[in-house]
Amino acid sequence: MVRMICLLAFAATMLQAYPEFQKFSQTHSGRTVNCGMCHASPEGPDGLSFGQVGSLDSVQMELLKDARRAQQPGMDVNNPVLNPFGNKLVRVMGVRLLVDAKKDPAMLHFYLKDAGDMDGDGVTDAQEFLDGTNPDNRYHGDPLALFLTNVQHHLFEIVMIFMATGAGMFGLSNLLMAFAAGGEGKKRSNSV
Amino acid sequence: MTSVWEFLAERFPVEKMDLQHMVQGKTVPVHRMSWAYYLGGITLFLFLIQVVTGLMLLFYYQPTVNDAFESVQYITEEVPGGHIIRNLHAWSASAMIFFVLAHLVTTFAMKAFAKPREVTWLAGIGLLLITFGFGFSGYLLPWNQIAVNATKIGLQSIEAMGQYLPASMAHLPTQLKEIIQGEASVGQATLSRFFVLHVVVLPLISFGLIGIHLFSVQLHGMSKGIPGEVKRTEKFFPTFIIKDFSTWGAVFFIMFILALTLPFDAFFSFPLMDPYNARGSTPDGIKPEWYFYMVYYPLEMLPYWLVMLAVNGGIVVLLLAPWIFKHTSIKTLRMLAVGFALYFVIITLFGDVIYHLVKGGA
Repeated sequence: MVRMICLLAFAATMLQAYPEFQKFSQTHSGRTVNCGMCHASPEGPDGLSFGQVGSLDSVQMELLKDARRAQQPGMDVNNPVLNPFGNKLVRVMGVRLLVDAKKDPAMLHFYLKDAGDMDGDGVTDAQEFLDGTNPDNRYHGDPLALFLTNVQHHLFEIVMIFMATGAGMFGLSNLLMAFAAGGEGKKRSNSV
Repeated sequence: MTSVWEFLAERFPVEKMDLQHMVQGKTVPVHRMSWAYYLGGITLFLFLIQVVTGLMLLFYYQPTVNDAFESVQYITEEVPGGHIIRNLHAWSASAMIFFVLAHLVTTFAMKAFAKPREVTWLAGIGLLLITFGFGFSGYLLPWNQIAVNATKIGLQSIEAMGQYLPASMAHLPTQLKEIIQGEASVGQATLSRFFVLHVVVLPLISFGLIGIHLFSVQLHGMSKGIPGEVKRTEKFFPTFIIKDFSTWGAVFFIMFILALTLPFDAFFSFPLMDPYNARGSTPDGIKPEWYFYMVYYPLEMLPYWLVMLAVNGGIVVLLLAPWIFKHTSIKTLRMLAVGFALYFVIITLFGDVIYHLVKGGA
């Protein structure tokens, strides 16, 4: 227990909270956003659950310390209390810039502008931050943007399914007409 | 007893139960409301999509609180084509509820419940309630934040009914909630019960009711649907059925494109898609599915007893419609149907705005 308290106290000095980004994303998008946008746990870094500081072993604590030291952009980090998007932020911006950006959270969009699309859903990470959607889930994003991107991406499949459905309907219609004609013919021959 | 037999004999005339009457000789009225005749068929087709995609999902879905969320993730992320099947299931479920409501409104407006089609109507109302049951039970199965929390709210609203009942009956809603829930809180017993309801009980009842509904429709034919005489008809087989199948093709194409390009989960905020955490805080924005907004928003704004009275009264009126509206003109029925349709569209699209206007929130 004492060890746990010491660990938490130590970790608290290692951590910095960034609720400004969450608040900005939520206000800008009108969608609910929680700590899970950047953190491994949706409840944030403090606590004893998986992905929170209290659950880390000594190796993970070292990774946390390394990440904290990444003041400049471009350093490879693997902070266990952050998710891939959170780690990407540290990699792209560095801790110093990230702390500065807290004063104007909209700047995060600017810094991420050329940082790509980590989930490959066609909506950039910068845009997902503005939209309040999950940058690390290819099935989550602004519905219209996802729709337009996926239509372009799956154009061949869409054309094929259109042709297959059309051909199926054509065949079925002709089959039913043939049944109907057969039935009529039988009726006529019976009446004769 | 004799009158019951007479009633059934009139609704199920044995002399008409042959291929000639039910298929080959059947005609369908052609007029400006003819499009409404296709809505029931589309609903049936969407139900068939539900059955097929639901069976596919069953190969992977695990109905336990520890594995349900993971298994849904596995279907979406790992199973080849899994996200399309899951999306198709979700999209066609919503579409099915839309079309079942549209079918209800149009058949009401066309007085399709009138004698001798009372049984068709009653089976249809049964199917409508079961469709909502499918929606409610299926919502819990992914075991994510919105699923469990919205189910909790739904079950609490059953319990709340007790305070408005006489003292001798006040415990009944709580008992009903506990029977559905299966334990003190929403947990494994609830998930198991909802799973069995969703994949066994409700489908079996649906098959029975669909059988009665379709048999009855074929037996009595399509209702006239308009005031005055029908000037033109077309053959049910093959003319109408080919058009019916063509609409099925169009619906399948639209559903498939939606499933392929527009993930259903994208409409929810991502914290709602997190795995349910009994010890964690409840995220904002917990709401039922859109088709329950017509009850949900009034419950948020009006006294509970008033909304429950309206809902239960509405169901009773629907069940007794063939007798209540026996002498009502099609024109009046149309106005009532349009009134309900307007209410449904407005509360579904603008319920949130209305709620904030009424409550004065941001």
